[in-house]
Amino acid sequence: MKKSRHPDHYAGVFPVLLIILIIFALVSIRYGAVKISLGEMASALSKYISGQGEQSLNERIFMEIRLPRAIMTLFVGASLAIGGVLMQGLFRNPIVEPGLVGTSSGAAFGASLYFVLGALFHLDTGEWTLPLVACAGGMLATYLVFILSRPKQQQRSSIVSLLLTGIAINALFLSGVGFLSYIARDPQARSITFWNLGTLSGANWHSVLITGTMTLICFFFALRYAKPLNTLMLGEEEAILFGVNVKRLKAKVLLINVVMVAVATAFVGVISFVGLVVPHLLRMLRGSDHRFLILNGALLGGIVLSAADLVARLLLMPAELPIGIVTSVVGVPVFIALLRTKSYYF
Amino acid sequence: MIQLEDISYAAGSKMLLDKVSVSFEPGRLNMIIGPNGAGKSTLIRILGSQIKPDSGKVFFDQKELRKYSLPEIARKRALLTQSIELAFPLKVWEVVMMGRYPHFSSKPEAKDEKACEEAMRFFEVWDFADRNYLSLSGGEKQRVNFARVMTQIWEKDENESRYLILDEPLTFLDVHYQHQFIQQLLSLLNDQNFVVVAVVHDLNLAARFAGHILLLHQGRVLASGSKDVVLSKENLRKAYQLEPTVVKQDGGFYLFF
Repeated sequence: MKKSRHPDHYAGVFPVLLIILIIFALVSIRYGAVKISLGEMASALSKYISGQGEQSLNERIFMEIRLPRAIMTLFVGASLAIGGVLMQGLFRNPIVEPGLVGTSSGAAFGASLYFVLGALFHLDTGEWTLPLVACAGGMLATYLVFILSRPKQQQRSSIVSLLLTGIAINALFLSGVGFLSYIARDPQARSITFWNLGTLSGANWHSVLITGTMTLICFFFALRYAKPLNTLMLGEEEAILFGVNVKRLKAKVLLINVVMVAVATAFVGVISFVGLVVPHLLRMLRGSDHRFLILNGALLGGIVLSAADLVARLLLMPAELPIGIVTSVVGVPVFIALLRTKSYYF
Repeated sequence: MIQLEDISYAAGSKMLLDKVSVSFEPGRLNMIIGPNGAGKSTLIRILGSQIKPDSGKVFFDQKELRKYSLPEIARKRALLTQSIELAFPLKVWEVVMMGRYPHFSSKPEAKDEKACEEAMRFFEVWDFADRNYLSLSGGEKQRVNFARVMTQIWEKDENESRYLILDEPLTFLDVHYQHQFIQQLLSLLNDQNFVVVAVVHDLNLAARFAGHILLLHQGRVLASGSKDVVLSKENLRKAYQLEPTVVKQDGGFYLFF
């Protein structure tokens, strides 16, 4: 029994976000270069399940393009948002985003390398090479940050040194990306630029399956660390007093974040801002409990990215904007306005 | 009982603690005093498992501290550190509830909510349970943290010791709350399994309330024992380079520097 004195002030957010998420997903499936009606969606699904009947063009667009893309958007958005929650919690720092520990800049470097070398040696590679190389780059950069940030003596908080090492390694890998796009020929340079701004246009059922599995596994692990992350809000040394092994927690949380962000980034490129903003939106809405942030971050991340993807596809139709541009251009003013109006401070 | 045997801890070449041995017993107010840099906070951090001593042993009752798992000791030992900064906004009762984290796995049970409420009423912070912790004044935050730390070891158990360790607990409190808090501490000492250790700066508080005083100086034990023995003119001159005037009153004494 909850006491009336303390009604759960986090209650009610999850179902509302879930409804919004479903609406956004349906809208994003419906609109695009061609409109797809709810009837067509239903008939495509029933034909798929029964395995009978010839699919119309719209039904095929729905099954092979719109639906995987919409689901991919939800998973990637959830990954980025949960990554943001985890990293901000771990670093006790509101300006942190999931790519901070080198993951996305490492992935970007891997992808750039793939574009430049692939063109140079005329490699004929399958659809898996780019995600694999990008994912490896992200993991490598994060691993570098992790081992280089181990302080020789415990003079400085290991979290601060992790933060600073992350910034340094990020700068290094981003200058690598800059160098590669400088020496690249025009089409490759364009590929690098486009990938660095993110796009969901390549989503298919394979990428959905991999990203979805990883996101779900990481989501459940992240939920397990909600309590320890809460204690970390009071400080690293304080968390120890609640029985938390901070060193192990740090390694586990970093691993979850790297897997989620590296896999998502590998398929869709670098999408900025979602991981930074979503945790703040939720904290402004209700509070900073990590269980609440992780559960609802998964939904709100998907909502924000679906909205951004819709704008990216509709604004210059039939051409498509890189989604990273949309998340930044639309997200920044909204975010700043919220920061200024709400009594949100710390 | 908490026992320290030959505890040493060095940062680089500087010995912060040098073979410190002392025992803190239940049923009395154990206080640690000493000038800045004497090693008080280092000692507290060792008691909180936040750092490991380079040599020596710490016992909580008969068992060595390093043989407890972190969650296990967290259910018996609570430590109030100085000036706690919260990284993100939380409601006051959420902060207090963290004290119960070692006691439940995912969601607080009825006994956890009960402990929270009782501790919050005890420290008079129940009225702002729903306020944002970050909007509180320094003294209010301090009382909330008292409540949080006490919820951690709230339930009395005949067979289990409880340990409360306080690092300068009276900072930010006005005189009213300082005295009230001391009275509350004294009332907790009725439990024969309750061990309290507190670092204090105000020597007159020690002179008035301490049951046992440890005087640290340059990482070593300068004196340890009853207040009459430890707070001698000679000891204080050695530690603080100031000679106090002692004024006896109401069976106790006051120190003026």
